[in-house]
Amino acid sequence: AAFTLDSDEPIKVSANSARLDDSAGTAIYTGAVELVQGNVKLDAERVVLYRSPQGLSRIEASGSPAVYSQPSQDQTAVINAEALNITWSAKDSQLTFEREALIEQGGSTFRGDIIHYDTVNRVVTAEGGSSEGTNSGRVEMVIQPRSSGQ
Amino acid sequence: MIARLFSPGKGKAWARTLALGGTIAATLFLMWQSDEPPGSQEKAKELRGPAEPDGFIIQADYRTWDAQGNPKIRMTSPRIEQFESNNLAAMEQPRATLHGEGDPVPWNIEADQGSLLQNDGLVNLNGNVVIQRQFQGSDTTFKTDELTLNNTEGTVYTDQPVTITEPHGTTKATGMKAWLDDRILELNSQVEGHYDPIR
Repeated sequence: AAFTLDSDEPIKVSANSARLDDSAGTAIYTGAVELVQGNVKLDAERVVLYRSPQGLSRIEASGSPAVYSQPSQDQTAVINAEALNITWSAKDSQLTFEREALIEQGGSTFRGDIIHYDTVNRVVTAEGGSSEGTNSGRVEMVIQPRSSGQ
Repeated sequence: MIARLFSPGKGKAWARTLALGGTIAATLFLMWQSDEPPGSQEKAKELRGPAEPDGFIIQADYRTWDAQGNPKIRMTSPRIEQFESNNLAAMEQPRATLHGEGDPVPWNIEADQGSLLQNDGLVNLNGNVVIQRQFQGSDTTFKTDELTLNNTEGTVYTDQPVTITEPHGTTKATGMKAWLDDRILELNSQVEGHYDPIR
């Protein structure tokens, strides 16, 4: 599964520096930030963790790009994704890749301005964003055909 | 009255009387001194301690309040030694409770040794330094080996490794600075955070 705070795996973060704001409930990590849960990994320049009394509720990562990688599991292929902003929200169990977003899985690629990945149902939805955007406001998908032997 | 005391004629008589009184007092003092048992000097020296402070307090309890009468700092220590030359107070096993501005939840601080630099409003803590705080029913604990409290700025800082334990995780780093009133903490380098999943 992707990032999911329901799993029993702890989330580990390493970074050059950090700023914890007790009253705002945030922890901002900056500089070569690496965030790992089990064998799912997120590399970014800056990561903001939102902490509630129950624990982590939201992760916002930014980088040029921020890179998310998830190994293959239960017949799902490896996922490599990147974007200038990657957000994970516990409430919606959703990963959002924004600005120059790209997801690669099993030879197929999804490219768009905004890509949502529902970590529970494993559904990818992509949006092209406005036409002035770098990729002319369109969504691009390349789906690898199954080889005839399968 | 002072002028009359120093006027020529009467001055000599006064001077003689004063001198006579002084001599008698000195004689009495010397006689009293010689009666003192030799052991008490030794005991006094021992109580004062090898560092020979200018003053010392046993079972000290130091408190400050703000202008509205709210407690600001409480510091206790089994022994505090005061040194006039650099206006320093050395504390054994200091225990402090610090109240942030308008923050009902205090920070509790303890260490093996501490020194209070009164001129600079600084407290240096050394050895097993622990800061503890309860917030929204959950404990936050900082551990390090050295820490400086700047009472004027309301900050605490160290360049040593620090470990922060919270209900949902632990963070380690090297070097830290915290603004107590704003409840903000900056970790300088080699930061490693560990967050438990939500149960």
